This record gives sequence, C-alpha cells and structure tokens, in this order.
Amino acid sequence: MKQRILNIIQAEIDGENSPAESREVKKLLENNADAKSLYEDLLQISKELSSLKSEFEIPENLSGQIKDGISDRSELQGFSTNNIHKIKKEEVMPESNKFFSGKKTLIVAAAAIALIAVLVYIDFPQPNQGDVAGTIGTDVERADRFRGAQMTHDDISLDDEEFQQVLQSDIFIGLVESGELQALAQDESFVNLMASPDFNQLFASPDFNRLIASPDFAQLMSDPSFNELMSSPEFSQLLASPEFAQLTASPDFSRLSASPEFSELMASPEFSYLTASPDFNRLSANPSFHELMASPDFSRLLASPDFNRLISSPNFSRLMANPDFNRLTASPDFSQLSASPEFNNLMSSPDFSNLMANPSFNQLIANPDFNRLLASPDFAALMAAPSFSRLMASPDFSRLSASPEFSRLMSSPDFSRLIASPEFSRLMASPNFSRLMSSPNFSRLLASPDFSRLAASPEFSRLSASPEFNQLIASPNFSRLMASPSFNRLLASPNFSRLMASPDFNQLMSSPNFSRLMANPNFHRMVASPDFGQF
Amino acid sequence: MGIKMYSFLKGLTKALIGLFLFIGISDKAVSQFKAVHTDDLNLIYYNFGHEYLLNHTIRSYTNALRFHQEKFQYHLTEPVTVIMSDFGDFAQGGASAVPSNVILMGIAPFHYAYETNPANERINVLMNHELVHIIAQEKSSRSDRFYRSVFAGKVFPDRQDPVSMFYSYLTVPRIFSPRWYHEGIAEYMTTWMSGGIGRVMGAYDEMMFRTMVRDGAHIYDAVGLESEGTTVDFQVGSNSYMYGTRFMTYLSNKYGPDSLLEWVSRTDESKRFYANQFRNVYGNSLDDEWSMWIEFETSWQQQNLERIRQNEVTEREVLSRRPLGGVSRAIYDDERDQIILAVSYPGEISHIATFDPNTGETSRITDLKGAALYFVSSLAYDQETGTIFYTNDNNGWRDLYSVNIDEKKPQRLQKDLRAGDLVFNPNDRSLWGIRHLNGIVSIVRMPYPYTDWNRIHSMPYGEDIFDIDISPDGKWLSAAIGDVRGLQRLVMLDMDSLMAEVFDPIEVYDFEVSSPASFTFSKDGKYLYGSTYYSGVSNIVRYDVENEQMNWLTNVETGYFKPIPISEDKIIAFEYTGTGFLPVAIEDKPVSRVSAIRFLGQEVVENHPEVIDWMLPPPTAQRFNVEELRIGESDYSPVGNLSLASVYPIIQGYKDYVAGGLRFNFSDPLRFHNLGISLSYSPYASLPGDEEFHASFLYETSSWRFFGNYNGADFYDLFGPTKQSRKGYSLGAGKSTSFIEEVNRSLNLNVTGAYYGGMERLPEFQNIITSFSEFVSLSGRLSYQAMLNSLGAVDYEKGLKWELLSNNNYVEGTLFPRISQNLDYGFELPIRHSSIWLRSSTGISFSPRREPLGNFYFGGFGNNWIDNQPSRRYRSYIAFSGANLNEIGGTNFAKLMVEWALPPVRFKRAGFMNLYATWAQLNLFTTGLTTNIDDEAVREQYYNVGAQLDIQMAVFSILSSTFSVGYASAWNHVTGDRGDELMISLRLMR
Repeated sequence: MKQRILNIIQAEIDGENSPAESREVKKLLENNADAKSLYEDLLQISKELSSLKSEFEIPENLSGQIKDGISDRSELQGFSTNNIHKIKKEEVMPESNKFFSGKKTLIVAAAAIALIAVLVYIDFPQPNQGDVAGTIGTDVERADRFRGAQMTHDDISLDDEEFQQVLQSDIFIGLVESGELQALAQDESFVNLMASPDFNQLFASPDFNRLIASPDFAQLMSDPSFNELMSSPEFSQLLASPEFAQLTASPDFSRLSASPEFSELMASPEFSYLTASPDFNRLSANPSFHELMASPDFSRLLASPDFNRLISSPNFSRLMANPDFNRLTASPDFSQLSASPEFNNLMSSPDFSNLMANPSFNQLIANPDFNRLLASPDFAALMAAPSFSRLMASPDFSRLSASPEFSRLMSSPDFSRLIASPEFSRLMASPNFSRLMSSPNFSRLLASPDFSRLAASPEFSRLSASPEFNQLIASPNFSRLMASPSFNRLLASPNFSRLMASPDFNQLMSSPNFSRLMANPNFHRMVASPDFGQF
Repeated sequence: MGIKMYSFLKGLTKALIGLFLFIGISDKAVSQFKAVHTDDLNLIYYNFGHEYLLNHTIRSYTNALRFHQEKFQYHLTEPVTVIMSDFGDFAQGGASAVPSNVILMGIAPFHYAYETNPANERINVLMNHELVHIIAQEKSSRSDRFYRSVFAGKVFPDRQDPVSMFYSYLTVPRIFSPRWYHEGIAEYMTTWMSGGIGRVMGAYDEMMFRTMVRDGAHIYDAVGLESEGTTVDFQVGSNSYMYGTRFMTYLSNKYGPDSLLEWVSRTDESKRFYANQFRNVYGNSLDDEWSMWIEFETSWQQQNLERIRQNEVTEREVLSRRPLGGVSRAIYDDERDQIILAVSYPGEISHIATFDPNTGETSRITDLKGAALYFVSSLAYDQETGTIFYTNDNNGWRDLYSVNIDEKKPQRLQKDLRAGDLVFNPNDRSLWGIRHLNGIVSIVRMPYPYTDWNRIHSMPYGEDIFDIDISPDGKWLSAAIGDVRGLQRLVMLDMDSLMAEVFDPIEVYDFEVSSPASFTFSKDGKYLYGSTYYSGVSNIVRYDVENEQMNWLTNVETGYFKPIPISEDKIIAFEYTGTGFLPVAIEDKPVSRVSAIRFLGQEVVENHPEVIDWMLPPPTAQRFNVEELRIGESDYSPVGNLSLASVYPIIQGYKDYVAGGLRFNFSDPLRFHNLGISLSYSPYASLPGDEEFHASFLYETSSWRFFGNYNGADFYDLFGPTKQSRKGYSLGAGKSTSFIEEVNRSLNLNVTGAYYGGMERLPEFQNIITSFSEFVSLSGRLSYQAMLNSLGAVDYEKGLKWELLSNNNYVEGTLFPRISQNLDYGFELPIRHSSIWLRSSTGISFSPRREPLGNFYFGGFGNNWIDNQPSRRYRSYIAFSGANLNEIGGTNFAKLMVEWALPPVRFKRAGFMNLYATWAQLNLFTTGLTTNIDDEAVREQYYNVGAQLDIQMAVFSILSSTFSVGYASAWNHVTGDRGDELMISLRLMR
C-alpha cells in the first residue's frame, strides 16, 4: 500500500484530513478491501485505547487524537460527531465496558501499546497541518453539542424526485404559465398518447434521449424557419386534416415505418447525404416541385393500384419506345445528359440493367397513368428545372439511389402498399397537403442548414431506425394526437412558436432530466389529470 | 306564529336545498385537493409538484406518531389531517386539535438566519413538532371525553356564542394554555427526537439569555412574557419559543425529562388547567418555579460569561447610538461611505436604510412590505448605478424590488419570484439568488433588466444552499450548503462551470454542527468573512482563500454577525443585543484564543442520558411499507367531508327578552366550509306569538356566504343599547372577490343580496322604523387598503384605506339607492407607535328625504356593553359619538374625523395566569359632520370631541378580549344642543 494512502487513512482516524481527503478515503474504503481492513484495525485500536484511558498512562496529545478519531469514526458511520462529556460510561456504553474487563483488557492493552510503539518507531508520518485545506489558524475551543445519529439522504425514499429538476426550470414554468400546455393537457388525444406504453417507451429510449440532447436538435428547434412552419396555418391544417390522420393511422403506414427497410434507409448515410445536400434543398424549395406534388395527376398516379404493377411491368419498355419519350431523349438537354459521364456510368451499371430487365419496371413504363404523368406540364417543368438537374447530378443522389437500402425500400411490399393505399392518395390529393408543400415556410425549413444537419445526424438516423419510434408512429394514439384540434391550436399558437424558438426550451428538451420526466408514467398521469391546470 | 312560521320554514327548506345544490357544484372548484389515507392520517395536497414527498411524509408522520403514542400513552381518537402546502418561501407549521386534528405543513426549506431553525430533514422535524401540539391539545381525561360526547365533539370557541368558551374548556382544556407552553414542549421533544438538533441545543437561545444576563435586562415572568415579552422586542413571537423551551429544558434538567411528559399529558388524574397541573407535578406554583428558573438562568449565563472572559474579549467601537433592530445582509458602498441594509425596529415601519459608519445616522430609503423576523429582507446592491435590490413579502412568496439609493422610488421587478439571498455580479450586471419551489432549492440568475430569471441549478431535496456571495472578479460564488443530516459546510463554486450547468462545489470548510453564516468576499477577493457558532458563540471568522486557512477574528460575549470588511484593517459587524443588532467596528486581526461556552441542552444529555434514546430511527422505506399503510386515495371535498362538529346550548337576546336554544356546528376538517344553525325560543307571554321562535343559519365558504334569519336573536343583545335582533325574516347570499391580495395591500369586493320580510325596523339602523315590511336589498363594498404597522404595534400606523359602498333597497317597484365612500389616511409621528389619522366620509342617497330607506343615519359609539364587533367603532362612518344611535339623518352627508392614536402601554404583569391585561391604548378624536348639504333649510351640522381607552386582556391565555371606555361630547352647530355619551364595552374574543 502506498505511503500516502497509509497517511491519509491515519489522518482520517485522527480527524486531520481535509474534506477532499476525507472523501478520497471514503471512496478508497469502498473500493479497496486492504485499505478498509487497515482502517478498521487502526480504528479498533484507537477505540480500545480510549477505553483503557483510566488504566494506562497514555500521552495526552495521543489521547486527544484518538478521542477525535472516535468522533470521526462515528461520523463516518452516522453516529454522534460530538463527545458527551461527563456521561457515565457504564450508562452509555455498558457493552463495551463488559468487553474490556479482566484479562482480555490487559491483553488488548498490551497489544495496543506494542502497536503504538511500532508506529512511533517507524516514524509514521502525520499530515502537515499547513498542507491541509481549511485549517484553523486560531486556538478555538469547540463547544460540546450532543448530536445523535442523523438520517442520511439514503434513508429518505422520495417518489419521482427527478420531476423536480424539470418542474423547477424557468422554461417549464413559462410553458405552464403560457396556458398552452394546460390546453394540451385537456385534450383527450394527448392524454391518451401520454398514457400509451409506446410513448413511454419512446421517451425512455436512449436513442430519443440522445436525439433531443443533440445540438442539432437544439439548432433545429431554434431555427426560425422551423418555427414559422410550426406556426403556419397550413401546417396546422395538414395535421388537423382527417386524411393525415387516416394516413398515420393506417396499417400500411405503420408497417412501412416499422419495416427494417425503412429504418435502414433512414439510418443510411446516403439518405443523410441526400437530405443534407444543397441540391436536395434547392429542389425541395422549388415551386415547380411543389406544383408537381400538389397536382391531382401525381396524386392519382400514386394512388393507382396499377402503379406498382406499372413499375414492374414489361409495358415500361414500350413506354421507352414511345415517340414522346423519344422526343424527350432527342432533346438537347437529354443529349447533354446522355453525354455526361454520370449517365454513362448509370447506363452501364448492372443495377440499371437489372432494372431494365425487370418486368415490373416494364409494366410501369407501359401504364397510361405514368404516361400521363410524363406528359403533364408539371412533370416537364420539373424535369426542366435546373434544381432537378443538379439533384440528379449530385453524387449524394447517386449514392442514395445506388444504396442497397434504397433499393430494398423501393422493392419492399410495405412501401408499395403505402404508396398504393387510398389514405396516402387522399393525403397527397388533399389541398392541405398541397398548401403545406407549397408554403414558403416548409421550403425554408427543408432548405435550412439546420434541418439538413438534423437529418444528417446519426442520432436522427438512430431515432428513426429505433423500433420505439416506429411503434410510436404506428400507434393510433399518435394519429389521434396529430389530428386533435387542440394539438393543432397549440402548434399554431404564437406562444408555442416562441417556445420552440427559445434557446431555453431547447436546453430543457435536451436535458436528461426532461427525458426521464417524459418517460415517467406518473408524469403522464399528472398531465392527464384535470388538476394539471391548477399546477 | 303558525302559518308564517310554516311558510318561513318551507321557504328555508327550499332555499337550503338550492344552496346545497349550488355548493355541490361550486365544491368542484376546490376539488383540486387530493387526499391520501392511512388509518391514522389524511394527507391532503393540491399540487402535483408535491407528490414526490407524499410517501416520505406518511413514513415520517407514522414514525413520529408511534413515538408519541408510546411516550405520552396517547391514542388517536380520529385521524390527523395534514395539509401539505407551499404557501410561503420558508418552512412553516401549525396544528390545531379543535374541532378536528389538523396540521399545516409548509414544505419549503427553513431559513437558517442566526441558526434559529433546525437544519436537518424538515418533514421529520415538522411531523415531530406538530404532533406534539396535537397531543398537548387533544389528549383527554375521562371527564373530557364525557363532555365531548355530550357536545358531540370538541367545541371550538365561537365569539357569536361566547358560552362556547366554557364548553370548549370542558372538552379541550389544554388549548387554554399560553403559547410558550405549547411551543416549549414541542421544541423540547423535537430536539431529542432529532438527536440533539433543535432549540434545546440552540446557540441563538444561549446567546439571548447570556446577553440579557450580561446587560441586566429584564427576564419576563410567565405572565409578562405573553403580555409584553412577545410583542415589544424585535424577536416578538419567537420569545414564546425561546422562553418556553428554556423553561422546559431547565425543568427537565432539574426534575428529569419524564416530569415534562407528566405535566403536559392530560390524564384522568391530571388537573384541567395547565398551571394547576404544574403544581400537581412539581409541587410548586408555576410562578415560583419560573422565578427559580430565572435565578438558575442568571447563574448559568454568568458562568458562560466567565468562560468567555478567560480569554481576551475583543474590543470594539460602537457605531450607532442604539441597536438597529433586526437587520438584513449589509453592503458597504465605499464611494458613498455608507452601509446599505434593511432594518426592522419595534415602533418603526421596517425599511431599507443607509447607515453612516462615521456618524451612526441612518437614513430611510423606502419602506418594506412584509419584513421577515430575523433576516428582514434579502438585499443586493449595484454600486455603480446605486441600485438596491430587495425582497418584499418575505413571509410569503417573495417579490423582487429595486430602488435607487438617491431617487428612492421603489419599483417592482418580479412578483412572486420566490427567491432571496440576492447577490449582484458586477461583471455582467446579473443578479443571483436562491429560489424555493416545491421544497426544492435552486440557484437562479436574473440578467438585466431583472424582469426574468433563469434556473442555474436545482439541489436535490434536503440539500439547501444559502448565504451566497460572488467574488469581485466574478469567478467564484461562495455559499453555505446544508444537508438532511443538519451538517453545513462552506463551499465555493466556479461561476463559469455553473453557467455551463456544472455544479461542483469545492468545500472550503466544514463547520460540522455549526452553520457558516453570511460569508462575503473582501474587495480584493482574497478573503471570505463570515461568522460561526463553532465555539457556541457567534464569532467573526476570516478565510484566506489562497492559503486555505480559517482565522477567528473575535472572542465576544454576546454574538457578532454579518461582517463587512470596509478597509484593510477594519471590519464592521453587528453585535447582538436584547433590542436588536448594534453596528460595531473591530480590527481585522486574528485572535489567539477563543473560548467555548456550555449549552444547557448538553447539561441535560449528561445528567439525563435517557434523552439520547428519544431519538427516532430514520423513517426508511424498509421500516415503513407505505403500500401497506395506505388504505386509499380520494379527492378532498369540503361538502363531502362536512359533518357535525358540535352541538351545545345557547342563550340569546331578542329585543329585551331572553331566549334559550341550541346551536349546531358543521364543518369539514379543514374548515373550508362551515355551517352554523341556531334555534332558540323565548317563552314570554308579553311577546307576540309569532316572535317567540328564533332561527338563523350561516353557511360560509372561502368566498360565499349564505344566511337566513327568522326573528333573528343575538347573544350580545342581552347587554346594552345596541340591538342586532330584528323581527321578521331574511334570506340572502354574499360573495367576496379579491382582486389584489398582497402583503399589506388588498382590493376586495363584497356583494350581498337579501330578501327581507315582516320587518318592522331597518336591518342596519335599529331605531328607524320601516315604512314597508318587505323589500329586497343589494349592497356592495369595494375596499382598497394599503396600510403598514411596525413591530410591537397594536394597530395600523400609517397608510391609506378607501371604501366605496352602495346600499340599494327595492320596495314595491321603487329603488332606493345610496352610495358613500370612506377615505382614511394616516401617518406616523416621531413618537414610537403613535400616529395621526384623517378619516373622511361622504355619501348621497337618490331617494326622497321622507323615505327611511333612502336616508343615512348617524349617532353613538355603536359599542354594546358586551360585544363581539370591533372595539373602535367610533371610526365607522355611521357612528357619531356623543349623539344617540341613529339620531342624525340625511340623504347626503360629509364627515371628517381627526384621530390621534397615542402610544400603547404594554404591561409587564397586570393580572393572573388565567386573566391578565396585555396593553392599553388611548385614542383621541374630533369629528365634523354635515348632512343634507343640498338644502340649507334642513341642513344639519354637528361636531364632537371624544376619547376611547382600550385595554386588551387575555382570558385563559388564548382568548383575547378588549375592555373599552369611551366618552364623547357632540354639538349641534345649528341649534347649539349638546349631547354626552359614556361608552363602556367588553369585546369578547378579540
């Protein structure tokens, strides 16, 4: 054992350690059996010496040290830290007196004296008073004040004390005082959501906690674009629309979001690159893209049960032979495209060959709906948009489309079912969705670097890949929440926007305590109770 | 009688059904109260944020109850209702056993100023302490239980029927004991139940009595303590705790701790009155033993003074002619050479002041609202701008204010901030403080302009941080941290880390059982100055930050606090005296030796070590399985919990007749809702048959009141000229709404509507005969009040009060509206507790002068011989002392009164244990009144001059009553007629 350790153990018994050294000793005693054994031996000796005070002459200063040692030992074990002067020992400590009687006393005493002699002989080093923090520079008498064993924090069992870390926060209090949280708390859907096991699991998941603790999330939360989107009427209308609710409540959507392919895609670096690329952002900000997304044709296409068959049908080949298609390919733009190394690489890739050889693809090409799409002015405008070109030309897009995850997603039955589901179609066809997609706010959001960073963050990927997230998305409660007017009013309220935009809120969201709170079923019970308004 | 009586009862029944339906609906308004039940406890709470303490409270309560049940041989007769609350920023408790066992528990941390409160785990402390109160009040003998069965419960003294006092004494005699008795035994028990942490071992208490002995100050006897001792010095009510605990400690040391239990326990063999039981146990009268204690205390403290004087006592230079009373943290402005602090001195409104250390003069900056007893207010100072930051409402939820030292115009920055321990950081102009919420302590930061706050760090439950300061370079924050063990240490925290939400305190010094108090950085940041009771005496210490060394700078006889380094070799500190803290200057030089004193509590441990065994084991989850203890949860509904509290015989007056009957009291345990029903009968042949029976009810909630009368009778009509009883019936409802409810400031609206039938005289004016027997009345009172008084005051001493009243009677299709207003303004005189008040009233009626309902009426003092209404009724706008009751009338009026409130006289001893006078005050007044101002032909002008002497008395220790004597002469300015009036009145139960 190192000399220094010996020193601080002895000093601990003598009550000469600084608080920091005392902490070190306590830690040491917890982790080091040898140190603990030595400490207990020395302590026992000190105790025995103290009891023998009346029978043996012991140097006065040593007696004082040992007496202090007993006090400190008592403190360590939660006993009195002060001596009780003038108490008759037979009344206070009768058991110890019984122990130290007769021959046993003499034997122990002799052993103790021998040990002291050894310690003195080897010049057992004592801590230098000047080296210890918090020393007293004055000769101060300490008043005797009895103090019995006190309870410690470990003796107190509190319930959900972690709540307090959040409840004490100025952010949370501001949130409560704004009234919006109360309105939300009175919404049945929200209450159900809060009570759902899925929600609990999500908030309890490490992934989610990591996500909300990430700087990216904080940045997104504080991004003005995001807040504008959150507070835009379009967004609210979308969330409030029955179509959206139906979509999120549909089994197809659930299956898709729960599928490993979707998870893998979301977790893939390619997807991250894509969403993070300026090209993608520019595309998503392009009005033409919005027009396309909002067009009935596009909706119908996506809603068509033939769409999947189209993609995989041999008719697609025929489409490729269509004069219109030829005109397209004959255009200067197409020439430039086909002359580009990227295009050539694509054309020569095995993946492309496989696609072309796929019967489903051929069916798609031959589908009238698809043809109508290709013939639509919207599609033409999209294809003509420089942004689209840049996207298609971007290495990020290439990497995404080349990734196995993307391929798996595209070929997964779940995805197909989603695309083919009437709910999805209704969503795509709904004016609300169109307004959202075409709203400048949404564009700004997608175009914001923060959003890109968020989407590119590994945490986001992990979150979206987590089963809990998928369960949440798939739960009917989530759908109900999304569809509830209260929630939408909350999202649309200026207070909520201000809250979302405030750095404080992000601090709150990213604190581990908040996550723990949100994962606690009792918190949900509280929010679900009518008393929450009073709180 | 028959038909009218029947129709009244029928109407009353309908009204009551409607009323209960309404109450049932409105009851939901308070349904936020939840209850958790065990066999012995109903734990009520209202805030989700408090739920984390529920099970811990159940364990602590059960732990304490089991101990008390064994020690006092006590058996609960009903579960105790404990209300968990957070109504104030500091822990508070209260207990009452009448009519139900109720404990109020405030979960906030204690304040630790001068170590006047225990620093260990607070729920345990409160449960230990408050349950002693319940037992000391409620524990019964066989005869008590008999009377409880006769009266259907423990009778609450009700001033409406003062005979209830007697019944109360029969059912719960020990509530008729002085406060020092109840607090003394509770503090004594709590100290040992907490293993020596408490007032018995209190350094402040030792200091107080040591200082009294050193200065030859008067130590009160048992009567004088209650009449004067708890009101005149700056410690006011705390003296009950200190004297009571000290006396109990003395008794236990002399006769053994079990003798106290025998005194306090109500048993079949015990005496009903606490003082008689004292003689029963100790063989001496309480007075005699108290005198012996004073002799012992004098000797004990002289020995302690000798111990201190064994080493050189520190010299000091006194800077002020008199102590400043209670003082806050003090801050030195080296440019102005002034000390800024808050002071609270008896006889002066508490205020923020500057103190000139060179001249000893203080100068008022602004008044404080809601000063705290010991720390007065939290204070911080921005020297550059001269801005003083301080807190108001220090006994409730603290508000943050600022005031410029030169402009002296206070500005409220944040209401209900709930933070104190303020300190200003000059580096970024932010303000830091300690916030209390839900029993948790948080460090908060308030950036300029201080209208918002940010939480920096929240401590775990049971860990408190207080007395913070920031180093001049803004790098360090010093603080005291206490934990549930009652251990306190001085720490420093890196400010940058704090801002990054890293809380990593560096321990500077562990003061063990003593508190590190008021540590503050020197201007160069090299030292921290503070005080500690390490030796049992509060001495000034200096910590060398660089060399990590603690030095004692004083060895004093009393106690020094709140040091402020003002130069390299000089420190200003505040010396404890019996009348407050005295600013003194001492040398900034370590002393070589500091003496320790002996604690009386330590003497008890050594002489009676059995008290060591009184310590409770911790209420761990292993010892108390809450799941087994809990038997249910529910919402707390006042209506659902409404039950019969007591029934007793009453005697009433009806006109000039006596009536006998019964009174039924219903209430819920928390007394949110109270229903009283009185039924009486006057068996006189001379009384018409339809006036023989009398009935009344009053149902009160926090904001609503419903009432009904049938030939309403009143106990006080048995005595004197003023009559409340009226023939006829009435049914009405009133609603109170509070718009502003702040300490010393309020704005309230009361609206009352009632239907009156069969009346022969006006409800308000007993001598005015109505011209109609039935009418509907709607009245309203909007009242604004902003008034202050000082420590030791018996009444408000300055401020403003304004009332707007409207009385509207609707009779047979005609409305008789009246409107009036009162404006009172008062200001302090240089004489302590003396002030001048200007009281004005004006009013106008919009009705014909001939209609009684449309007139105002004035006259008389208004007091009855035996009374239950305010004693100083001459201030009422309808009073006009010297004239007969309702003698002066008019449809409009203007009135102005000038009143001089002379300083009250406090009695050190005037009476006996069960009846003594506490104070007397004389008020002189003169009034001018003009009625019918609009018509010279009927205009009347009156003047009066009068005086009233009020003497407050305590009956059976707790029942305050006021004996008043008044005399006034009134003149009719027009006719020259003069009237004289002598008024003698005893107002029962305050």
